[in-house]
Amino acid sequence: MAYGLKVYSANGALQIDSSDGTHIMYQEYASGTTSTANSFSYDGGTLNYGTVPAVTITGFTRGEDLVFIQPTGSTAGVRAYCFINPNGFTIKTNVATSFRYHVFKKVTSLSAPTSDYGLVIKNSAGAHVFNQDVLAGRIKGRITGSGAIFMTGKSLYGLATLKYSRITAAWTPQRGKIHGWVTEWNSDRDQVQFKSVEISGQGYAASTEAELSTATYVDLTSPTTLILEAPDP
Amino acid sequence: MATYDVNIFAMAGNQWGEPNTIAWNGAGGETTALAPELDAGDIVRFKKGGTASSPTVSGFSGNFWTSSSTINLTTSYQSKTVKTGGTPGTLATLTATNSTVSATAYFKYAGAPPDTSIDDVDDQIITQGSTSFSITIANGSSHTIYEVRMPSTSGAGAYTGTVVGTLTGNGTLTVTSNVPNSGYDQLYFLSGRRTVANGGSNAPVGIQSFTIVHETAGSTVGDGGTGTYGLRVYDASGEIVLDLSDRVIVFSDHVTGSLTSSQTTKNVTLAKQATCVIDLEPETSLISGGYAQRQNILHTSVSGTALSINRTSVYPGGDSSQTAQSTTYNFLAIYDPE
Repeated sequence: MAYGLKVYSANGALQIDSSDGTHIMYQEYASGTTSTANSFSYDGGTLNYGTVPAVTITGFTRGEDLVFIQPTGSTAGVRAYCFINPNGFTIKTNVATSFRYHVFKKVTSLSAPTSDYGLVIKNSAGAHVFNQDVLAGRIKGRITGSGAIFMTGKSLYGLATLKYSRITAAWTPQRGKIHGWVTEWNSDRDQVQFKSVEISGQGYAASTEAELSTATYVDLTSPTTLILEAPDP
Repeated sequence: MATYDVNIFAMAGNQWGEPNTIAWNGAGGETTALAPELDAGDIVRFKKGGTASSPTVSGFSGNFWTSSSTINLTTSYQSKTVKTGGTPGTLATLTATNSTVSATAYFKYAGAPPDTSIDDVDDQIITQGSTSFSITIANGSSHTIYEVRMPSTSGAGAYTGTVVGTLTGNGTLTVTSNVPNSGYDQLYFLSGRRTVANGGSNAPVGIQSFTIVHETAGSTVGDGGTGTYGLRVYDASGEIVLDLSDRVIVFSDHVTGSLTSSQTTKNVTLAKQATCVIDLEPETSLISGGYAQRQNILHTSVSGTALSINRTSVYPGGDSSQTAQSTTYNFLAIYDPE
């Protein structure tokens, strides 16, 4: 590299590279707190997750932007997964609570930094590769399949994502269940688990053996999520 | 009280060498295992068809029926009634005879039913490496034997498969055989059975099904370390914008497209290596008409720039009698350098 700047983390993970045009960091675009989840119900003895009213983000770009969430309050065992909408996101959760969120864009899609302090880094094309004004996507962990990240005293957020893992059928009058991958927080929000759990009792009530088979879906692949550290919005 | 009909079709032999024949049609089991259960007061009606002049049905025991006389079949129904006070599980072996040939069918005297009103048994995920699993039987009865069964392979019914775990009354029922391997799942059926000694017929009665999933091992990658060198950047409020202990998120690619009606797998090369893929438009109508919408539920795996998009079937419910369907995908891929 004949010019510019490369920055590495303490263990050598590349953070900033002004000479690589494909190394496009994510930095904060918007943040806030949602409304409280509602519309909880029960089916087949299982809680159907409640819904946080959809959050609309002006300028949101589905296909580029990332959302990270964290429940407010100190209730332990809050679980959530998230739909990405064309103009924002919708959270589904097991507890009637609100969520803090941070929305990240590619730094190349953000407005240029306006402050007159800090570190300005541009690439050879003159585009900013780091914006000193706004939060970077400060990743504290990546979990593939079931796992947990525990960082005492850190405020941890989970990536807004959705992956169903199982749809089951049961012999009528029982109902099958629907399972999905959720992020779960402890009361201090410094421990995050990622795991597959029941999220709905609205699986299928089968009347025949054939329906037990056709109404069942099982996916044993292990999705990946990212865990972020961020301050309160 | 229920009424069951039996039609004995019997043909007389003749001078051209055609033999006597007889066939049992209607109620009755061909084997003792298939014997239908009859309750006190139930009526079974018998009549004949065919050219045989005087076929009969015999074997009516006074321990099972209100009348033990043999029936000389006619083209009109004649009835037999199940007596009260019989012994649960008793078999009635009835024989229809046409001269030199005969046919046999079986009925069973029903008993008091097992207690099937137990608390729901939920599906479970068992941890990687497990060699057994347990379910809890609660609010059951001591007169009922609860059995976990494998799916039937004979087509005889959901609750006739091999028993892999058993428990009398309430408690913990542990299954140690036929546990799915890591990365697989298994459907089980739970049935209840009340023995003759407890006033039942000993026949299994279905309660519910449940699924056990044996999880695969997960993996975790931590932060950017805790060394003493690197860059720490603060904003005007003193909040850390970037720290030497961070790893960062990097954009990889946004990919959209479709799988054809014959594709269960599609490989896509990403613009930049990725570690995490977000499904931006996951299927949300998961079951339709009894069919899990497997044709639209996608899963991915990524290694470097190689993204593999997969689905378990091109058919709704995995049922090949359905129409194979194409589907679309919309994924955001991101990368977090280690």
